Amino acid sequence: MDSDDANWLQWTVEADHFVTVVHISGEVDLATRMEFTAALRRGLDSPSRVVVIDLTQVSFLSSVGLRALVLTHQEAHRTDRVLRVVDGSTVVRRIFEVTGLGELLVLFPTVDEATAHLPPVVS
Amino acid sequence: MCEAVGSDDLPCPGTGDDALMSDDAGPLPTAPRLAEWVRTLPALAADAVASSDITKPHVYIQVRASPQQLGVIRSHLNDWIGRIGATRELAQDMVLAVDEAASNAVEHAYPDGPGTLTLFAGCDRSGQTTHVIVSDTGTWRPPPVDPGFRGRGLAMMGLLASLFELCSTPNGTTIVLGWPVAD
Repeated sequence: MDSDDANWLQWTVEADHFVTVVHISGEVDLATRMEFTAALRRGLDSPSRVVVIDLTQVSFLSSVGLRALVLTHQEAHRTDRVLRVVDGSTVVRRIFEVTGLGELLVLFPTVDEATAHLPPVVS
Repeated sequence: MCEAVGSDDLPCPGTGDDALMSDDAGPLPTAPRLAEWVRTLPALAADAVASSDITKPHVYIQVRASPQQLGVIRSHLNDWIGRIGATRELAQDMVLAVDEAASNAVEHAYPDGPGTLTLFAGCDRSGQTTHVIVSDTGTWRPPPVDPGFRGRGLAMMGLLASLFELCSTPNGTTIVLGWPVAD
């Protein structure tokens, strides 16, 4: 996607057996929600028990992004996975605060903190 | 309380272009167009525009009601916010609320085809209050009883803005958002 465009979203995935981190950058709105949903889906498709959604480089997130995050959180819960969200930028933190969703989603200030203290693997 | 002033169904000029007009250079070229648009607005929105000082930085644009234009709207708004010197906290709330207002028009106003939405942002003559108005000429459908996330978008505007009014008439839907300017 052309990053000169006003609406853009990019993502990369780092995964090992224990944790998958989806790094997302750009703006999440009506124009990019399909791409955002695809990024979250990629996180859930991994076999890792812990899925970290890294929003550090997300400069804007509207209610459509919140909807996708909550649905992903619910699906992670159903499939016995742990979803952790890194809410780096202040605008993202603000929308979680205003909507009260910061209490539903498990938020971390950095990826390092989100990937620390992984739950034990259930055999 | 929520009544349209004037019933003229004004055509939107140049609907083929995405960014139809962007003019905050001064009152002369903007004023006649603005006056024409104001006649289509409900009273609260018309009053908000009338009280705005358009010799100062303001935004008055019409864009196609499409998801790709939301970034354009946020960009215009951010430029204006920078020029009026709002705090970062206020800027965030303004951009989040206006995006929800514009997203609502993009998603729901024109189920049967293309349409336009108009954005106005300005400070009143006292310099104490900012108003942002998002209007469309489409059809408002009220959220379902369990409003879910669409309701969340509407509720967010109420939480983010000091003033939030939504007015729907057969001529379209208008959202008025307002914030006091920080000292």
